[in-house]
Amino acid sequence: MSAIDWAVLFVYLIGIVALGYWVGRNNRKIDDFFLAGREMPWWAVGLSVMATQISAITFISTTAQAYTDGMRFLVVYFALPFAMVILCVTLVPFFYRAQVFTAYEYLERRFDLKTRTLTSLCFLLQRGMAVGVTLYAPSIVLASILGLSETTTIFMMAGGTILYVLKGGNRSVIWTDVVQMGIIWFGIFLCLFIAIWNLPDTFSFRDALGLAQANGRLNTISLDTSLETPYTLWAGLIGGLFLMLSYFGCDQSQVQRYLSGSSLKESRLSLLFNAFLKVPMQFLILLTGALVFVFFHFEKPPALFNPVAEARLRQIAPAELGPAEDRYTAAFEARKTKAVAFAEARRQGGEGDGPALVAAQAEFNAARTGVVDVYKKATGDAGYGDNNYIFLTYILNELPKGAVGLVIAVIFAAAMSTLSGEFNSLATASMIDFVRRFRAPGSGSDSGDLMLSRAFTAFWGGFAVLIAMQAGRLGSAIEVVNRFGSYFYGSILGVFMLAILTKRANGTGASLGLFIGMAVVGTVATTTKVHFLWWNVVGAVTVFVVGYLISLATPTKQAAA
Amino acid sequence: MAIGSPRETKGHAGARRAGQVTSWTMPPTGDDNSDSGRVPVFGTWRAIYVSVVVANLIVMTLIYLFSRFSF
Repeated sequence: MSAIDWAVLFVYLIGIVALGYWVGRNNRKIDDFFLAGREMPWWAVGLSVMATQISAITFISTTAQAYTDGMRFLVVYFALPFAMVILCVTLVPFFYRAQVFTAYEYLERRFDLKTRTLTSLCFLLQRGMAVGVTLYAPSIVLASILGLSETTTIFMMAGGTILYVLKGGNRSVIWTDVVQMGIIWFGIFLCLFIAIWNLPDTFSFRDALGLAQANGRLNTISLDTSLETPYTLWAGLIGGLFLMLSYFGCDQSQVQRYLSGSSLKESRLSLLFNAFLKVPMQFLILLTGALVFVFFHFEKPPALFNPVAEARLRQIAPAELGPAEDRYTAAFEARKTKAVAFAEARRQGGEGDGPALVAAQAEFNAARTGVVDVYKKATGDAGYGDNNYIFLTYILNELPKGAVGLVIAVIFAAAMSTLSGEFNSLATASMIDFVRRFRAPGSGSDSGDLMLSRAFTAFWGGFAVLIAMQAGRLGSAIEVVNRFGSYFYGSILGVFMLAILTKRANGTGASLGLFIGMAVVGTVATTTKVHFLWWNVVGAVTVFVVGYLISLATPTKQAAA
Repeated sequence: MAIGSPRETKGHAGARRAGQVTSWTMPPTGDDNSDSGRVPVFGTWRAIYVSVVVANLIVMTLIYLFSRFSF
């Protein structure tokens, strides 16, 4: 990156930490620290909800998804607006009227202490490990692309975030999220504009869409009914609905955002704000990825998008790389020729030779796979993959000076906005569901609680850094925990469904149902090829049915007269 | 007995202790589910919910047409 890009990045980092520190300077009680005094306007909370949801890796992997596979990933978000309406009618009024700090606190009031403790513990375990991955995944990509060490990028992202969340809690999280979301939106439009601007003069925007379409990069909706096919319309609408209901309704990192609204109306409006904007935003991000795919028809992309891997391969296996690279270059030139002919034919009133484009793309993919195979063989790294490097490679090589720094700042903003919400929610669950719940009545003071809440924020921030720095070595353990998180999402939704949809359900049914639900999802995940979006349906339905049946078979305490 | 939330009232704590199902732990109905004050732009909650659903159906249709349109 140039000096001006580094300057832009550092202005962002210093500015966001200063803003977070300044807005959070007046916290006196944990109501301020965890719920921003319950006085946030809907638009700020709405942007914060959006910012917490979009992480750095979502940003860079979504564009890569469009580049390599098309826009089918968009269906995951189709059910989000429906989920928001359902939540506004059901869970949000419950949480708001109960004046809870955490979603799990509500479960104690509805069921019992063990249900609250169990679900909160599951959240801490799953989210605590996941936040390490949220930090690690973009850190490793940015380190490689920017020529920094992983430790440096980890500290650049987490260090600043911990500083302002420690000082200002949720108020700092929300106001910095507002700015970060503004930067992210600006970055999305900038990337889209530059992706169109960078097309060759002889290639119109419509030609670009035609080329992307011919290669399946505009494919969005698949009506395939197989449960194993990824991202079908049905998986998006049904599985995605359960996923979104669980994430926005039962995950403390989101619930805490909208509990900060100054009224029930503000909390609801913040979610509905997302309902209107989320799908168009994801569409624009995916479209950018599809246009980057078109752009690389005219500018040769590196065979390996990870520059460190490419340099290593040149060093250790130059002889094997030579022929594979020659084939790759020839395939690129052939594909470029077909693309130019495609546009020329369209200019003359034809439709362009789509099948020839597809054949050229297939040869190009095979040639790139050849180079990747050489790398895998030479290094023994059978799991090598570089999709997450595609978008950043494009940014660094094709954007003008200044814009590069800004888009890298966008990636940092996406990471920091997610991390801040997660640090704050982990500290909240630790403090409210465990410390305040189990200590002797009457003990503790506002200042002591505030100090302890900050200590928990520092603990979870440090824990995330530790996990991120050890992630390379923890590999399989992290995968296990993330898998556990996938089992948990639908299942916890089942517990909340039992809470609000039935009168007969009790704590024993909910707790046992949660265990059984996760076990069933685990079995489905490990023994079948059912796509992960359906796991949420399996988990929620299992917990609801099993929990209800157990509740029928176990005594429920009678209401006091 | 420790109380989970500083805002929890005696009644809430009592309900929790008993593990009972009270009206406030069940889905709100009618006016209980609305907030006071007018909803900006849309007027009522029903109107805004319908707008969200209709807007999403329109967006999905447009995206479908976009992916099927012959560029």
